[in-house]
Amino acid sequence: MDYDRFKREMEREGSGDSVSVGAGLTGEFILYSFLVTGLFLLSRAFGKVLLATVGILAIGIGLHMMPMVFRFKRENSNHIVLQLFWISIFLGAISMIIFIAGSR
Amino acid sequence: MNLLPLIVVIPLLMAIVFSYIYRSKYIRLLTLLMALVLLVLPLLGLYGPYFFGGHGVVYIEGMPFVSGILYTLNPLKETLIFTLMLIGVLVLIISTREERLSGTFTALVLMGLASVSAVILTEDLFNLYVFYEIAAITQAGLVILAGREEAYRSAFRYLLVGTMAGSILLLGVGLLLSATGSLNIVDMGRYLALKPLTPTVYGALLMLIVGLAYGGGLPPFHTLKVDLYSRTKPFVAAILQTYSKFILIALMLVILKLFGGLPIFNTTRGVLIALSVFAMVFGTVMALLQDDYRRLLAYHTVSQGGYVALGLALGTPLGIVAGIFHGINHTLYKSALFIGAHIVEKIKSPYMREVGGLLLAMPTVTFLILCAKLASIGIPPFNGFQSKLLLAEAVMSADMPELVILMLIVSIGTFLYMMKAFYLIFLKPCSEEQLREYREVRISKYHIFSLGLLVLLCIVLGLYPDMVLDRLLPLGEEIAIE
Repeated sequence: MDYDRFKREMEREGSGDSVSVGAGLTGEFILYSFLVTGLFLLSRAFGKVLLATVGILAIGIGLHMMPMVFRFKRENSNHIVLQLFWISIFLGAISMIIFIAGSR
Repeated sequence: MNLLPLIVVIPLLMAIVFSYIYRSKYIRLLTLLMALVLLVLPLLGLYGPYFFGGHGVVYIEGMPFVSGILYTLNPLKETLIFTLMLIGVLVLIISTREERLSGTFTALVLMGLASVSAVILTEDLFNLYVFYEIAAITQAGLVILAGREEAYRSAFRYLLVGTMAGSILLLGVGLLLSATGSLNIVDMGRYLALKPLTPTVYGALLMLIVGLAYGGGLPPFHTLKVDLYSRTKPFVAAILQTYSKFILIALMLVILKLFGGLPIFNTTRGVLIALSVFAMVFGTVMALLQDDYRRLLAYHTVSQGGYVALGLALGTPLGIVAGIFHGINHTLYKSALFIGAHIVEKIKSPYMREVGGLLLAMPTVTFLILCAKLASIGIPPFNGFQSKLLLAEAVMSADMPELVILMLIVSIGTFLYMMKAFYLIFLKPCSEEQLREYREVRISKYHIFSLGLLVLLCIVLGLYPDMVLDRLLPLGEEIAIE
């Protein structure tokens, strides 16, 4: 992902100066690092080939989706519909994890 | 004589009194006096248990069970309550310099202090739930007092989701009661460790995690907390974030005590660590994208909450101590930053691009805010460095080096947005006219005193962390999972 494209995106968001673009790019790299280190941790913990394959796939999708930070910002908005959507996803995800772990 | 309940009862009673005399012309003086009383409160209790209403331990089939409500005080709880009261005192002192101070504000702060103290002290799960709800309502009330439309909207949204999250937590408490026949946390933990686990217990665990995420501001509830912190006056956000942080610590400890010894806790630990890491990363990335200083600090609070939760979620003695120590440190430097943001907002605007050049107008405040920022980034000799180092050690000894790398990356992000804010607000060149405008605004000595005291504490705890760590270590070892 090139700097100019990122800058254009930031300008569209209303903050295209170099300080904001630098901060935005750092955010982008933190998100990507999170994805990579998270997958490393999971692969090491579960030690499954499938997980590693899915991990590489996720990294590839991440690279393709770049810049991710603008989508991420929209999902983190204070719109009640989005908030309720993510709360329901969260409830579903932890229910599944805890009940699967409990039934083993 | 053990006067432990007075830590909760005095602020609650005074909250009622202040809400009756909310228009009194002596409200500022009374608020100052109340602030002095609050400082003495943590000294009233004696270490050990306090049984309400003459209840005590009863033996059923040779097993000890606590009947009635039990509060306990230990060095850990005392440290938390002292920090809580200190922030409350400083916020009340600053509030006396506000143009429109009503008794309602003092009443709500006192009610919040009482309820969070009760959440920390209680060993009864239902009692904890009741005060958890009061704390949520108090936080919404303090935001509503900002008197702006967006503040009303944020508070309403917070309560709306809180109705759901609170009900889920209550259901969790009910399920645990039905599974164990007790509401005492220690009794419940002992019972759960002896009996085979049932779906009812899994359900209860799930519901407690939902309550934890809402009360502590972990994802996906973090956007609600950010909205709350950024829509109220920044010095009020200082006490709001303290409430949330201590509720997070108290609930994490409850989860550890209840489920720490169970086989399912390994998975639960994974869920809690994931939530913590999400909070760390989401908070930092979102803070990097902010132009509003209040929202930047609000997202930073979420990110630091992730650090606190991560330490506690590890469940090791070092992790628990590091998490709690970081929680205490965070409330100190973050309150300093919010008070600094209040000064910035008073002088010009919360929007960083509209300010600039404040260094020339108020060098002392600039220096103090810089110190608080350095503490929050984790730079020696400030307290943030000590607790982050301890957290990194705890994570390494739990065999998760990837998380240490992530913590470092997040710290770099924190450094960047904190310095971005510092440059835009204090260093960016400004016109002579703007400088004259700044100098016309008078900043109260109470604001500077509060800021200075908090920064001083950040340095003292950075140089002598053992002052707090020695009080936390024995309890960390007691609560830690094997």
